[in-house]
Amino acid sequence: MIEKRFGEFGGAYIPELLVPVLKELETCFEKAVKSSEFQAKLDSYLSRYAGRPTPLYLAENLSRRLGNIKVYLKREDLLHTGAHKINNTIGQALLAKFMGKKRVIAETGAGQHGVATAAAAALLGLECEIYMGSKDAERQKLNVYRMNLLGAKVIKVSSGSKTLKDAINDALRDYTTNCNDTHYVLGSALGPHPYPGIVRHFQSVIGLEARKQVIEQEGRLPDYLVACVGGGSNAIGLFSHFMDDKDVKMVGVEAGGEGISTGRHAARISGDGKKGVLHGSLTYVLQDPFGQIRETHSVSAGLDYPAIGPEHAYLSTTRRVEYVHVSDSDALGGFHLLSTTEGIIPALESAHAIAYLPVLSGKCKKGDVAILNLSGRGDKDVEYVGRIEGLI
Amino acid sequence: MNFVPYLCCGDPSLSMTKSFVKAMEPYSAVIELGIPFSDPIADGKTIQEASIRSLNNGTNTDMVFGMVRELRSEGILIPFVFMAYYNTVYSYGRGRFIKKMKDFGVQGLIIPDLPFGEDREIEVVAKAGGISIIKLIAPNTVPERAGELIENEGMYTYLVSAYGTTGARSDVSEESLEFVRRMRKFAGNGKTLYVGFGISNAGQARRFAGAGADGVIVGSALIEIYSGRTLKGSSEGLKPEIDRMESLARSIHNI
Repeated sequence: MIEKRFGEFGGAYIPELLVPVLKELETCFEKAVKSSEFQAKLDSYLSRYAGRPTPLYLAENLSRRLGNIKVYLKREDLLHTGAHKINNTIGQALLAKFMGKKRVIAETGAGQHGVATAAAAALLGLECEIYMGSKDAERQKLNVYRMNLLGAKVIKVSSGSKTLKDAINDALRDYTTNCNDTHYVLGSALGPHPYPGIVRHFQSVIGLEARKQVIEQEGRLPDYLVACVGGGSNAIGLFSHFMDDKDVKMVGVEAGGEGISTGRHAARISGDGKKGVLHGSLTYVLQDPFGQIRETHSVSAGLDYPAIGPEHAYLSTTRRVEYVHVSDSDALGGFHLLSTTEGIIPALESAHAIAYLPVLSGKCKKGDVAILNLSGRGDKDVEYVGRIEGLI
Repeated sequence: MNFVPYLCCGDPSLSMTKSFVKAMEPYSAVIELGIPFSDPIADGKTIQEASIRSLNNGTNTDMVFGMVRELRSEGILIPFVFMAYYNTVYSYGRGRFIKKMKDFGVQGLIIPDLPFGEDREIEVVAKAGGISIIKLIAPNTVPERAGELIENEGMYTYLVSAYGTTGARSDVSEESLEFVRRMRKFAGNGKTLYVGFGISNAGQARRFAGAGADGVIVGSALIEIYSGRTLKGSSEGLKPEIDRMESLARSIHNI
């Protein structure tokens, strides 16, 4: 059973047409995860196709630079297609097959989830269409081509702000129209029930492995978990297996953009979001006084979204997780810090989590252990950062 | 046949919306007033674009309430139903929104992204405030739930004619007609069933009437009559468009 609400958050605020569709999705998901055949297929693809388990790597140079804290990186960046997204897309594409659907659709911001969905669809022989804001498609032309190479059709969305939130709007509209033969592969732990629970389930493999690995390598549980939070799937994936370990503190890092006071950011919990409903879920949302959804900003497209997964909203009210934000320029600092100390170029999303480490280290006792979820690699961002810095 | 127009408040301006209301009133059973929302997931291109135009004009919830108050003070007595997305109502404060509807003279509320049962509290508040919450039934709604929705009907029950979003279509599928027939049989004759989504002409309306619908809701087709024009201000500038809207309304009303 996956929970429909996290405290007061979550729920399913959707058109009536989707009520039976999401009910069927929930029923099939529960059947699938109990099926040993489904699980065996998933495990096989995750290990032989995607590259699981990912290493837990002790970043000694980075730790030395930081001072107090001993940092382990959970290397989701090493996965096929370059980020944790593939854990969920293989799971959901298998689920689509399990339900007898012929076609999958997905939304994408920068393109990571779109590429991961297109790869899973190619692998499993599903027709695939990806919704992408026209502004994002322009900024990430290479990823559009990558999705095309994988056999997916990219539909450019030119309504609203022409970014991720509008791509989700159009994907939901498509789902409402074509639900009889189509499964919507939502990319993060957000949206209406049962999506937040489904995505958490498929991403919880991160936490499952990390818990076992840290006990093997360090002989104990960590003091901290750190992850960036856009919709929040990589964070919830890591956190999920440590929820009951009361001594493990958890930090979610949101995009502070150009600063909360400028309004140009994507900090829903640690910034100025208010309770509201976007894309089917009650959560913290960046909105104006009349409930119109605000445009957001972040240097990282994957964090540039006005709502946060409902379980994160709940975990912030119970204080189980602390949410903080990191600015664009600090995130760029994190991008360089990991590149130069460890020879690993992080995705700009993950660079937000890296950039919080110096702050965290300052609060730590010598020898405190942290696991940072390195959710994606930075190949996709190299050209963009180079241009920002005027180097290419 | 009962005709129910949907108007997107503030597109092209609130004063024009008032003119449209006055033009539609003689032919209408109810008028649906849409409060524009930035992310209208149940709507197709036409209403999405109308909503954006309205929001770009600065329209907000208080201004829509103000427009209703003016219409009531000018002697417009037809029942009004608000069509508002859930976040619009939630952010305003559900109790405050319902009370203001009551005070300003809006009788019903459709929330296209709030399925029945998801927010019991608003049902209770609306009932206490004498506001009717209109339920939608879709072609894939299971019979048990359709029964529950009809049992808890508001001023009318909104039948969503086809899979997808709002938006004018010119034809009617046999599936849509069959769905309406099925719901009529299921609900019996005492219930008010209006069909919406995709209706743009009297020919379609006549076929839905034949299938047992008491009325049709027309939105996108009305907006498309004037949306090519960017005129603001007086209704004089949109006289030919208003004439065409009236003639569409009349042709359905006369069925």
